Amino acid sequence: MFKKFVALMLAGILGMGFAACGRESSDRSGQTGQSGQSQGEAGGNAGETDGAGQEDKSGAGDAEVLHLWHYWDSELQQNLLQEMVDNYQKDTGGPKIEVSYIPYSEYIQKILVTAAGGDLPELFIYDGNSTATLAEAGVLADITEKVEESGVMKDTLPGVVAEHEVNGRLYGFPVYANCIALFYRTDLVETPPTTWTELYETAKAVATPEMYGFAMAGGAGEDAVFQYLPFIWSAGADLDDLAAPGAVEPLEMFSKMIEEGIMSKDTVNHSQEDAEILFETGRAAMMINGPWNVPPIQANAPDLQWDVAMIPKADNGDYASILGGESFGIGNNTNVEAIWDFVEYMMEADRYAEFLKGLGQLPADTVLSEDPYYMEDPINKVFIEQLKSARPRAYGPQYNEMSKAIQRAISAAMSGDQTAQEALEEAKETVTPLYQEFFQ
Amino acid sequence: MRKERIKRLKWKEILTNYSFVTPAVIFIILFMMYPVWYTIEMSFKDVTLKNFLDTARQGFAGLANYRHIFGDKYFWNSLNNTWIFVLFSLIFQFSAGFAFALFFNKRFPGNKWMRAILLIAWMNPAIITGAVFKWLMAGDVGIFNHILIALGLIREPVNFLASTSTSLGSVIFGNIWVGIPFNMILLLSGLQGIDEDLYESAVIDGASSLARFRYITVPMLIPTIRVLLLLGFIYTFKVFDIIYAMTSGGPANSSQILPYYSYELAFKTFKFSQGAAASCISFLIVAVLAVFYIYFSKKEEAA
Repeated sequence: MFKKFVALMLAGILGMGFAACGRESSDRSGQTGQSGQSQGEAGGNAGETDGAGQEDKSGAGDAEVLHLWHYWDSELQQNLLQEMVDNYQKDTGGPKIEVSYIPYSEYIQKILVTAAGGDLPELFIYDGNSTATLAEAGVLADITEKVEESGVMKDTLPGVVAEHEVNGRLYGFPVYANCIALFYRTDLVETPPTTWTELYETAKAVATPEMYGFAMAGGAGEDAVFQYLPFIWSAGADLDDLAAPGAVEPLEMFSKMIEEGIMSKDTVNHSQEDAEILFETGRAAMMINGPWNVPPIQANAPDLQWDVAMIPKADNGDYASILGGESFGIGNNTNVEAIWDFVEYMMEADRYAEFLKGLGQLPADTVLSEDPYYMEDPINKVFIEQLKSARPRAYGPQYNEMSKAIQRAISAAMSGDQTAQEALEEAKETVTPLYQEFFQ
Repeated sequence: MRKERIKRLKWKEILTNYSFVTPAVIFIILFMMYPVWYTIEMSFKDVTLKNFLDTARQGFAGLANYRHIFGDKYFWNSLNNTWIFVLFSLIFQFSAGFAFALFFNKRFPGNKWMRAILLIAWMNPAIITGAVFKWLMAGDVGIFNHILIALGLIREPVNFLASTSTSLGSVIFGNIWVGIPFNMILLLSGLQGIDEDLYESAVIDGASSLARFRYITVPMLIPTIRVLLLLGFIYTFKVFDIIYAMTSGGPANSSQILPYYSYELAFKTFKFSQGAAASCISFLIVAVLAVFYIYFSKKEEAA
């Protein structure tokens, strides 16, 4: 009798345990970041708890809570976001918005898994470059009409608009934009190089056994492609033909600089952050990097004398840079009406301008960038100027695969395993068909 | 009447007994079998980012995913690297672990805390170990190069992680370091299970220390060694984090092994089905080896 009782209890507890698990995962109670559920587990749950999720929503319908997800690590940025949400509720008495942090490394996976459970957050921050990918996955809501009605993107830079467009429809809007430029030491480099030849000559002239002439990202990862593309665009090359001289030449130059010790032999393992560390610690005289490095350099190396300039262009090409930045997306099949009220509140011109300055980021539009706050700052001014020449990576949802092939080519050439020509010929086999498939 | 009662009792008893197993069965089905089944199923479908959420549009793909993977030279490259990675990791982890186990099996002052310190290597999250090794082995600032140059063994710094000829060796080195304590602990517990009397009588019979090792230690450890090598093989075959942290499989895929290959397919290019197919191939390789292992060990036991 007792045995039976124990068994029944066990079965009962187990059943309850599962039910509880299910509820927890469908009810994003702000703990999402810490839940740390393994992929498989979350994936397994997502399917089953579909029903529970629905129930949850209708049950708590009277006091609706909206959700905002982000992956911002910096406390400063987190506070600004929370402040925005708190002020919104205070000023308008609008619905409660729960802000959840999810580490970047599991962000996209988490969103995909949640989407499978039909329980996306109403609003979330994402890497603007993933718009096509996320729209293709059915995660982002089509907000073309909303954006047009509200004028949220009326002054946005054309390149940034293009980044958020898929088949002529809009799936997101920018939080801010950024791009990369050339950082150089003013005590070592008198006039910053403006062309590739000058870049090579200058880097060679200032390089010493203790200091590299130039640093950039070259590791396996998007960073390397992000820094390589502006160079090929400057020469008029594109992903349709990676074996074209304009695409091969810069990679050849980088490989040569590595070979000659002007750049670190470890470049092939370096992210943009690693390049920043080299520059900040006085071990590189120049580097390519973005505006997010300005505060760390100022904080960690206050005595360093440096400035920024445009990325050197092809000897007979144009200045070019690449568009980065983060965006807001609205979860597909969520309460767009409710969250849009918050969006309009947040994007109200003055409030948004303050938010951006607080974040220390550049505006993605032409009006805000005229603000003296940016124009009177010598560093911001260069980035704003460079931003005008920045292009999006608008290569469609297959971009990740193209990027992977290019990463391989960059690392093969930089490690001396293949020549730049050979490596890019190999990448071309993967990239060109994908390019044609998207642009046909 | 009475017979029926007994029957009912029996039935009840059976039900009760089974109900004790139920939690384990449910757990295994839900958290072990379902994910495996899901992966296998996915590898025969066409799941990409486009139809990930729309299960109705996930068409049956037959063997297309497998065909694609077998036609991909980077798959063969990563499979090749996997064998090298597993083989060298196992050999060195095992022999170093064995040496440490023999050493710590002796009584000497400081034995316990030194053993505990060695375990840190194993307890550290592999991602941290990987990051540490990335710095240790860096070409320009790495301490390995510094030491080797100071010792006069090399003249120019070696770019351990940045060269296609040394990257695989470097991640193997990192992985060996991680695996030594695990091998040591299992072998040590095996060693401590060997009856001291055996050694004593061997000494009386005049057996040299080498003979005692060859004819007592090794044969008595065979069951431990067998389990250890199988576990070691499975662990090594699915190493991911240390490679992710040290080289991300690069440069130019030179340190890419199968799990990383599947990861890139599924989570970088979002070809979920191809990633699943690659995982199934890894799974199959491990499963086949495990079956062989069980078959041979049973045969040996019977003999």
